[in-house]
Amino acid sequence: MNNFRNQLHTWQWALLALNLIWAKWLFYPPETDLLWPSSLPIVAPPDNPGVNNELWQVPAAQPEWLSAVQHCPLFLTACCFSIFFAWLASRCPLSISLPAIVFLSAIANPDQLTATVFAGMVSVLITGNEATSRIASPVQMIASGWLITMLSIALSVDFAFTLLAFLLLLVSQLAQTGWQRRSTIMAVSLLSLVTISFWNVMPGFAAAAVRPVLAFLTALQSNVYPQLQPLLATAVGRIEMVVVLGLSTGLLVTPRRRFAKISSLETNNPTTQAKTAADAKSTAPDRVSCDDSRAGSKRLITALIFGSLAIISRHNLLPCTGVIVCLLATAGRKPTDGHQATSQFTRSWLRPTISVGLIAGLIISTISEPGWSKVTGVPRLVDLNLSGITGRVLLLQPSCNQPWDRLRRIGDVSLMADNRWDRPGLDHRQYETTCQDIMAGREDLELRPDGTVGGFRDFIQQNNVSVIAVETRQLRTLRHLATNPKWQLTALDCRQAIFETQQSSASVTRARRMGEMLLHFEWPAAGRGFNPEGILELGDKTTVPSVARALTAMHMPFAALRCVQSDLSPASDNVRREAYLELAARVRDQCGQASLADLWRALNGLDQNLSILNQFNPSKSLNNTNSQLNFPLRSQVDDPLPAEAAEQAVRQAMLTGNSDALAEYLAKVPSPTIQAFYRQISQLSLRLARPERRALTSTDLPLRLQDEGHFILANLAVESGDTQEAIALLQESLRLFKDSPFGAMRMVYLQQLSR
Amino acid sequence: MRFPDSFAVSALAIVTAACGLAGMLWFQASSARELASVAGRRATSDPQKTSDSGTTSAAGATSDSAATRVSRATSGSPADWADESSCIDCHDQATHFLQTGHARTLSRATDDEVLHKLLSLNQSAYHEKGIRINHSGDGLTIQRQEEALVTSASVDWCFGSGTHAHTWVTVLNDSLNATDLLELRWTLYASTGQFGITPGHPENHGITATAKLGLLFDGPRSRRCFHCHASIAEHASIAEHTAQHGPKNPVSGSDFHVIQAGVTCQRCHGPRAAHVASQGSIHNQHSIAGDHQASFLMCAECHRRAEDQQPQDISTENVDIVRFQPVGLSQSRCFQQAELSCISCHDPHRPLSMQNSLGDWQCIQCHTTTSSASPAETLHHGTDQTPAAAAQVSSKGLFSSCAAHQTSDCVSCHMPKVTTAPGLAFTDHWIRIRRESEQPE
Repeated sequence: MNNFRNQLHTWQWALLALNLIWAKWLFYPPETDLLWPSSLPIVAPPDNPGVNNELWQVPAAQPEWLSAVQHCPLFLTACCFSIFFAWLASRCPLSISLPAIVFLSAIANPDQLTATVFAGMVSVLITGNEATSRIASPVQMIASGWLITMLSIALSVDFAFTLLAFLLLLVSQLAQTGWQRRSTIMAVSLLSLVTISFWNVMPGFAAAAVRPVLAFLTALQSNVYPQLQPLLATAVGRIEMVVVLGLSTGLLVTPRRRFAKISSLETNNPTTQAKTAADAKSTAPDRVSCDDSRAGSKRLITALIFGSLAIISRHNLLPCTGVIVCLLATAGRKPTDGHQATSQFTRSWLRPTISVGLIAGLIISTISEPGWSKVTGVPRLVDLNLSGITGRVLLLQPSCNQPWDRLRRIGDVSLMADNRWDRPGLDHRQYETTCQDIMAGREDLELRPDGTVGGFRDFIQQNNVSVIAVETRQLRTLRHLATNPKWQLTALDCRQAIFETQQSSASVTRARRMGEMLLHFEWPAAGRGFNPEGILELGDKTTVPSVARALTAMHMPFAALRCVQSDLSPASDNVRREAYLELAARVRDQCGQASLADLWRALNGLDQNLSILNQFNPSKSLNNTNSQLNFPLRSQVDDPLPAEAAEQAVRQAMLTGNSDALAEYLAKVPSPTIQAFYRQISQLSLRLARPERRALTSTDLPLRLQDEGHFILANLAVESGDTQEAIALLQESLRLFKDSPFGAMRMVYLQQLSR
Repeated sequence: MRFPDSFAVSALAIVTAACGLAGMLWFQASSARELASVAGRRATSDPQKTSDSGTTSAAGATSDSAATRVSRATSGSPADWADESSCIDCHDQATHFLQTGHARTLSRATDDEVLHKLLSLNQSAYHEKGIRINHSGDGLTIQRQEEALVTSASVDWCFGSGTHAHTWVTVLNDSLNATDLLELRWTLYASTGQFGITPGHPENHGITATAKLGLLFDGPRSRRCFHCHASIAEHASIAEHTAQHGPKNPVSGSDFHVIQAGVTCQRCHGPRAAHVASQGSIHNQHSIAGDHQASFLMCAECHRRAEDQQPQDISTENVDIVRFQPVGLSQSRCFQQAELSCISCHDPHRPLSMQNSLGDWQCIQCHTTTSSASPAETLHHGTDQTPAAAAQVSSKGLFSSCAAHQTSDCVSCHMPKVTTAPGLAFTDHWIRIRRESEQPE
């Protein structure tokens, strides 16, 4: 194993880490970061500058001239992470480095890169000279730690980890120097002065300084921040907790083994034996033992504190684990002289950094922009800067605030809540209740599941909220808001749907633009062109199903079907099934009919496909409980010709999507024309040839089936976007079947298509 | 391993300090919220604040923040709900409660009490062409025939106790499995004993299958219907339950928590499983305590608050708001300047027929000339006065403040019944001196 480890150079570690991070971001994007942008703020953006004076604002985010460099492209963030992890991994024993690098890649959250790196840098100073490549004095250590801490405070809102590491460093250095009165007084005085200055001069500093603990307290109060949940709260979290505990244990064991190894090597080496003997003369045995013990206690305390913080909140997991792995990577190492350190740095870091940068640059330069989104897994979203949205925004997922950062910076919007849970005055519990009310469609006074009574209207009015951003996957919420006349959809992409009240003429214009576009999408009319910029973004074929599902939820099944028309992926297949189910519900409500073609296409083969769909994306699969409509409503022609028992069984089989029963009973239908009719429905495709069409509208069929056949063909024409064909079929149906149960639907279709 | 005490103690001190600081911040935030809550509660319970200038404030009279909302239930867990029939074992009030309109405000369409009323539509004098109710082994359905086309729907629930009316509905689910409702067009009005068009429905029906039979309500709106007509512990899909058990099967056993038809004891008093299990030793006083604002808001949840009404609609010219008694009551000086609330006159545990809610005994507790105390004080000290004792006072002719020189029957002038639609009349709870022009017919 040691040979294998020696063969792995730093740049190979870096590439391994890079691949792991990409793999994780591509295939398992963080649940809480659904609005994944193409670039990330390396400096936390200001929160409505000039408006909120009680919230800590990151100093480096204030100057406007710095805004251009405050964002870091996602690929660069990944590279930085990979280099950082590689540095850690290359210094750990292989038994720890591999799990450590995999674990860190799995929990890598780009938002916390700055905080993690700074906290890690300070933490390696805690263990003193054993952690650095040069021998440094306590004053140098403290000065370095102080500098890094100040940088962290200037750049990151999560500076608390660095600050905590610095406090531990300070205490450890003072303890090492034997608490000399003068230096202690100086250090404590200086620290108190600086802290009091920050505390009083910088509003919100205190709350920001205890964000890791507030994260835990906020998670107790509210569920709107899933990324704050304690690790014990979830099954995955419990596994993560075990890993953190394992790494912490490793921190206690590894340096002892490393010391023992170094000692044995030095004992066997004749050239070092003389030096060791000389050192031994100048170093009392109890002093060596004391240093070892002191270093051990530092590591123990540090692991205890950061391990505890990691366990109490998922938000703390990455920075705290980073600190623990940093200590693992450096603890027990022997200081080297200056020349050796420089050459080691050049060999280990300069070259691999340049190599990784060149490779990344080469990849970027060869990939076009649309393709790039596929490689990175970053979807194209509606450009909110072009949308012109203004006002108070309520995010149902407050931590997904990144797309709003720019609008917030220029003061166009303010967010009710975001990832700043240290914001003073925000009642997280009430916010959560409001979000749940919106999701459940409780607008006015209603009994909530917890026994209280209320609705979201009061909160919206009191806080003057004019914009609600909903995740596209929250289908019922989308339906509730889409059918609420007070809220209008004004922007939609694969990640979020934005609803606005009609408070300004601009929002009315946006809503009208969106309404016309979606109407055209659902009922295509010739000669209409729309500009989707700033209001609608379908993205590519990986993101279109999400938008299509949202359209179905908002009662636009034809639009959804058009989105995924040529895509045969399981996700698109699922979208089609949901759209057909919605069409069947529409036909039931409008006509009182069970739509044979729609229900067959929605339910046929569902059971077999479910297992496959669940493997790919459990959250997006249609489940059995949602797949049935009830039919208390019936509409039929009085005294129709009684259908044969076999035909009734065929219809029942089609309504339930049972292909085995269909095959069995179809063979028993005596009339070949009727048999062909049902067989054709079971094999429907958008482009039917003439003989296939004739099977559905043959004059040899009973009138009720001819009527149904016409309606099915008209539906197919609308679905395929052939407006003229649909109109012709509907008009012919209107002429031939005056008492059709589909009459109401025909009129609606004709009105929409002929508008 | 030997620990240098100084480092360990210092490090632990840092952690303790950080935790203490966090706790302090959290405590401060909690205290601030609590203070805001108390302030809000005081604001709503202080009559002076609601009528500072003596003007009517629609929002102010009943304004309540989320913090001051009446919270009856400590938990929405189904396990917290007791069997309603257990209340009668210990509480006398429960004896008559089942006869109240609240308890009977929702029933299954197949229940005997309402089934025969619906079937009477077939013989009703009101006749809309082609309407027929069918009740057979397949269930209860309503059908409409227009020429050769027959549209039918099953009838699942009956809304309303019958005091004013009965309206029937059909339960559907949508493609996301939410509960939709089809409110049928035909309502049985108690005052006339005849069927008529359901309030809010257009005179002429539409062309779609649902429009021929009634109005289709989506999920949230349907849930609002059940919110006021049922004691729902958990917002589960009613369609799902109906699909599983059928409309004929009462909700019971493990499904008890999904829906409890009617406004029952626990709707107001909160889930009582622990209370029943402990044979009364666990008693959550919070569930039944409250000032006149709190009890008023509890009723207004369903009977409508002033804030739920458009401000321009709160007018003496608008007869439609008499349907929403709390809206009118909140505009009355008796509510704003005294402590009159719904339960001052109405006992929610007894049917209206068993209580003297229209007598004068409530009015004379404030409106007397013999008392030097303020109306509020009089009311406060007079709450123990029985209707009989109050009637004696009334008979002595102490209504000298009445400009019309009436000595009894206050409500006939100040709270008359107002007809809002054919067959529907409600008592106007906007207690006031009415102008000649607005006297009810």
